[in-house]
Amino acid sequence: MNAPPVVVDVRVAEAAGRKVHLWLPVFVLWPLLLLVGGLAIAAAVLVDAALFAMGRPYRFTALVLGCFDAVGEARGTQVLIDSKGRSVDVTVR
Amino acid sequence: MSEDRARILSLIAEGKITAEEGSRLLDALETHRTQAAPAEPPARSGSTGAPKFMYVKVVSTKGDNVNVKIPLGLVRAGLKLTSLIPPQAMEQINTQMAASGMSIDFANLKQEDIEELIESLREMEVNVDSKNGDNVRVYCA
Repeated sequence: MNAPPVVVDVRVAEAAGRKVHLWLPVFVLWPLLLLVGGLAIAAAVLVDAALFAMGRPYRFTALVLGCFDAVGEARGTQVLIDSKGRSVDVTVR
Repeated sequence: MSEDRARILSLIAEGKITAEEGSRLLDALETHRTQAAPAEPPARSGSTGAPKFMYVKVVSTKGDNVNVKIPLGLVRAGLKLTSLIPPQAMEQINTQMAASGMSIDFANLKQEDIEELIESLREMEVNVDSKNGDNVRVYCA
């Protein structure tokens, strides 16, 4: 499992010469993500335990962990849009 | 729009070059235009190892170009998630997909199937040339 994205880099360049570079520090959301993730995993474990006790085991815990895995794998995504007079580049690092 | 790009598009519009030739010229222009463009993959005939990224490139004659680079790990994680969807929800999804003409049962997708699918994507390339000169290319490397 990879760590969640650290930074989202947004670059906008216009034909008129104006350039904008946004550096979004996603890592500041990690504590919130940790809190939400912890609560979600705790809830999933309780649900799995209840389902198991009823004889209907299910992998809600694996589902929550899979969601976090998917968020971590988003690192490296890059989108470059080049339209008339404007270029936008979004990179997830 | 840069002068070179406008010149290439006008040549396509005037019919002096084909859409395919224009697409190749625009691709060559893009690789030199910005530092932030996605890195070109290594030569595919000699590549070894599993593919790491899926590239989607759209070249439009109207001057709107899109380059997307998606980590295949994200695709892999998404496919793994589909096998964890609750059975009740999976039934509804399968019903809707079958109604759309796609009878794929994600519940039976195993880990080894996912790895084999990702590995086989290395040889996949989709190249679409539309009537109005737009080009869409999807490949993994």
